[in-house]
Amino acid sequence: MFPDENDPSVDWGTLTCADFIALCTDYLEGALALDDRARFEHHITVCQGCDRWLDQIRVTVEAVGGLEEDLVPAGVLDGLIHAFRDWKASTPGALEKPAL
Amino acid sequence: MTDRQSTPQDADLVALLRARDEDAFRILVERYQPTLIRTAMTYVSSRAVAEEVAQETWVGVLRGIDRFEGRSSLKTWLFTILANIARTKGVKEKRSIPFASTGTAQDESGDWLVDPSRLRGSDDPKFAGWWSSYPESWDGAPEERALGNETRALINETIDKLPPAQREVITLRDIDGWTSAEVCEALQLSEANQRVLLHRARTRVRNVLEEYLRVS
Repeated sequence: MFPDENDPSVDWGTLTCADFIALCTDYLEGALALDDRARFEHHITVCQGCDRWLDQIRVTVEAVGGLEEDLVPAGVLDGLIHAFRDWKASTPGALEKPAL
Repeated sequence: MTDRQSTPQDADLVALLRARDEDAFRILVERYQPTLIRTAMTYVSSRAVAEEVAQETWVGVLRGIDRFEGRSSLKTWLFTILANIARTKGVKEKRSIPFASTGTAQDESGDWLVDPSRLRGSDDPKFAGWWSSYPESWDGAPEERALGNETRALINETIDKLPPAQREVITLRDIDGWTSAEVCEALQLSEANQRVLLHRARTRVRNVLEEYLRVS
């Protein structure tokens, strides 16, 4: 599927793997200009290492996204709710509650 | 107003909070407290102080909510309050401003994002800057290894050790799911700098995962 580097008929494009690695986030963020994007995508078709690298960056983003937020400890939440009630008792606030 | 079953929007919660609705306050605290603590950690030196800063931020929210005009988003406003409070607690040394280009293979601490020995040098003129050997596939790693608790702990630990600005950006973008525009506004970064920080953070986490999955 990926070309042999001794094949003289292959168009290797204009990016090195070092360039590719540096541009991965710009690519995923949609921040590359159209011609740079085309150069980037061409490189994927000729370099198995970079195809794999980009895939691994995607897996990384997914894995980081799967981390769960810590819950707010009950004691902290209670303390803040107390602060809320004190505040509510000491300030008038809006009269009408908006419908949600 | 909006779909009653859906997660309430910040703007709706702000309106309810103005009307002194306790549940709205509770939802906001649960939604943003972890982010506030992590962000506070980038200003102050201990978790205990960061928790204090986060708590005081909420008190600041209550004091200011009647005057909050919604010109900025709630997120941005929260970060502004937090930054002001953190400053009164003795801020750590100034955060380093990243270079404006992702084109460098080294990050601000001088670490290589890719070990240069993995790329071919100028002795191979046709393929200089190309892989000398490809990164190994992760497909061989057992599924549970790739997604298990141990991996999660490792990722958490890696993110905790990132330089503060990188940690902040990857947390907001990839864990909390903020858009790049929201992160740029809240942290006052340019789009380009935000991408540099995200790039370095993601690449470092990737590299730690590579080490870990390779020994499986």
